[in-house]
Amino acid sequence: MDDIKRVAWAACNTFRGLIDPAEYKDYILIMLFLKFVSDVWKQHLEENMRELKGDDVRVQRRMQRERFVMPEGSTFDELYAARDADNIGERVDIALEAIENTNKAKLGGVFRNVSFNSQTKLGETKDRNRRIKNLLEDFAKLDLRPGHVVEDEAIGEAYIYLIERFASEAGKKAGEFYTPLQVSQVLAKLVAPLPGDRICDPACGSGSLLIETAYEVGGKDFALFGQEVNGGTHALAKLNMFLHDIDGARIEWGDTLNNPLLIEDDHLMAFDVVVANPPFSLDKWGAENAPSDRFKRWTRGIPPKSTGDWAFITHMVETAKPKLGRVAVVVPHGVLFRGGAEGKIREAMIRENLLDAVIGLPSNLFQSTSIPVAVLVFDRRREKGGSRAKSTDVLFIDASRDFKQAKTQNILEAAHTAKIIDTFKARMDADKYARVVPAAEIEENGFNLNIPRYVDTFEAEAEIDVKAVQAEIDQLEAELVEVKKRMAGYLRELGADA
Amino acid sequence: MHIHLCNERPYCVIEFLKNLATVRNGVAFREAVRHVEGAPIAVVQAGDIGLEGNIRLEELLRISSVPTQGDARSLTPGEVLLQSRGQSYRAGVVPPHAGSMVAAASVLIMTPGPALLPAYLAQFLNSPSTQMELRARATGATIANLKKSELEQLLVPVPSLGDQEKLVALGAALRVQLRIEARLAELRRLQLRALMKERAERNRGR
Repeated sequence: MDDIKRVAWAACNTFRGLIDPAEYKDYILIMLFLKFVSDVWKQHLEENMRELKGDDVRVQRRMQRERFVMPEGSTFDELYAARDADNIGERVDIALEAIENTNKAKLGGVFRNVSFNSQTKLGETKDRNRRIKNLLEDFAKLDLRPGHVVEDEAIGEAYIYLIERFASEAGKKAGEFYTPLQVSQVLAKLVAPLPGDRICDPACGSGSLLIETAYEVGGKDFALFGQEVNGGTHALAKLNMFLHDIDGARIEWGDTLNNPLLIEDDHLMAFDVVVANPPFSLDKWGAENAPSDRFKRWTRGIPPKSTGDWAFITHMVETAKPKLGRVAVVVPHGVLFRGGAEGKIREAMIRENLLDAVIGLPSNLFQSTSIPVAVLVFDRRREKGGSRAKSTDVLFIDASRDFKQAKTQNILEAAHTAKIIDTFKARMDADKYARVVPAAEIEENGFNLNIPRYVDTFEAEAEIDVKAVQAEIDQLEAELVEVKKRMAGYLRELGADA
Repeated sequence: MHIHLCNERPYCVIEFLKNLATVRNGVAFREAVRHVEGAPIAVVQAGDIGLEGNIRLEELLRISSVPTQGDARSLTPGEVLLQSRGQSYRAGVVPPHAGSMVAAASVLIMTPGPALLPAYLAQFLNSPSTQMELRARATGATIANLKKSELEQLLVPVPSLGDQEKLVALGAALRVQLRIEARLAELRRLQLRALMKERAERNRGR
């Protein structure tokens, strides 16, 4: 497992300085995928040859039923053997295209955004060939055959590890493809998906939040859906699913707000669970198209054109199953209190009894921003006729002070996450941490959800023990006299006038 | 090169550091050092050198093996470590320890010769005027970096060993004095606040 991480990370040296981490990650991750499917293919081919005693026709027939079929000339080993070829970049592209075409249902469009033959990305022919050769040689060191990899999840874990490392290198650009694992875990546990649930992330990035939420089900009885606007990131999400052994996920490429692609019978698909870490306060999100939205999502109001937060939230709530679906979304704090159109949408959501909890998280959890964020939980079971229609209060949790400080980022530790989830499940007041707030009180506050209005975290100033202070002063004064005496001694010895 | 100086007192000379101590670089790790609980080798990184030059053994990361690049010689007690990157360059003396210990590349290692006491060298390096000079000698486009060759050119005043001992003791006493005075000021402020409150309450009761 550590070998995979180390080799893949070391392979990045081929690109460092040449292109941006946000771009070279695609080359590394695709190469990891290619090596993995090639190694699996090789192992199965060997096993079948042995089992069917070299009956070529039967072996071929069996290989055509593999999870991924590798057309001739497209395996990693074949490319590695051709690593000195003048047109190695073109060969890799042809191989990827062949793999994509042969496995169209699963891999359609996955490699379209990356060209190993691109002069602008990888340089002039000579440099480009050298770089691709380096890359092939680095990955040739890995043995990813099943059974040789320590655990089944190792490949998937290595993939997420790389995405995480790329995110830290890419800094501010990372926001669009990565949600820190600890935040994903909080969201996943808040929505508590059940076996058989349909789970969706309408701004899925590289898919790690979806996968984390799916893991929460325990077992494989779930259906995953996602949509991502960035073509390269969308491809990463698809590969991420395969490497985590989730073949059935439907990940669409496109703009969720203007062109939702998860459609069923001309309606938006409805999900049991919707999670997302959408872009914060997205400018130009498409407000001008909102009045003519064919799915009529914006009945509560159209969010401002320069701040798309409530657009994502509205979409998420609209795609949660009526009277059943749960929604958890990461938002910047402005979402809690901004007025105007946003205030009206917020009020409508609260009046419809959809808002279940507001959770403040610590600042500096993300690579892409240092601001503190909050998580909003909506629960459509609270709608009229739903199983929780009688709960009308909203749980506020202020978890902003619970974190571990690391070098450049704050970290939520397991205990911090557990405290949030336990409090959420118990739905009880906790001193300076959580409070169950009646709907009427939120209305009195003008539907402002700013957390300090509801959770009092003020620490009273400690009483000063005057006597103890004086005693410490006396003791320190005595020590000071002693030190000065010692110093005078040294100064005398050193010939200075003390 | 010997320059007699220090108010012409015969026992005091000024000397380039390279003539008083050998300087070497720490080990260049290619990746972030990851702690392995109970591993045999302790690693001193720049951040492990405390404000007053103290190095806390129990807080050091531990690793199982040292990558081969660079000089991986183990540190010996009495060697002096200096942070080599950033805006301040804290120095500390390697404390007595069991087992192997190495310094990372963000640290320069000095082995003082017979004319210098380790504690004296560390105290000299930590003094504000030396810090200013080190800052001036550091180069680097984004993060200031103090090179071994630059450190070797630093001029160090060299009193007799007996005097070095007394100067170190005087420096230690000065640090204690500053600590006590800072705490005293804090306590006096607390006292003042308590008194303001108490007098106001008395006034209300009148």
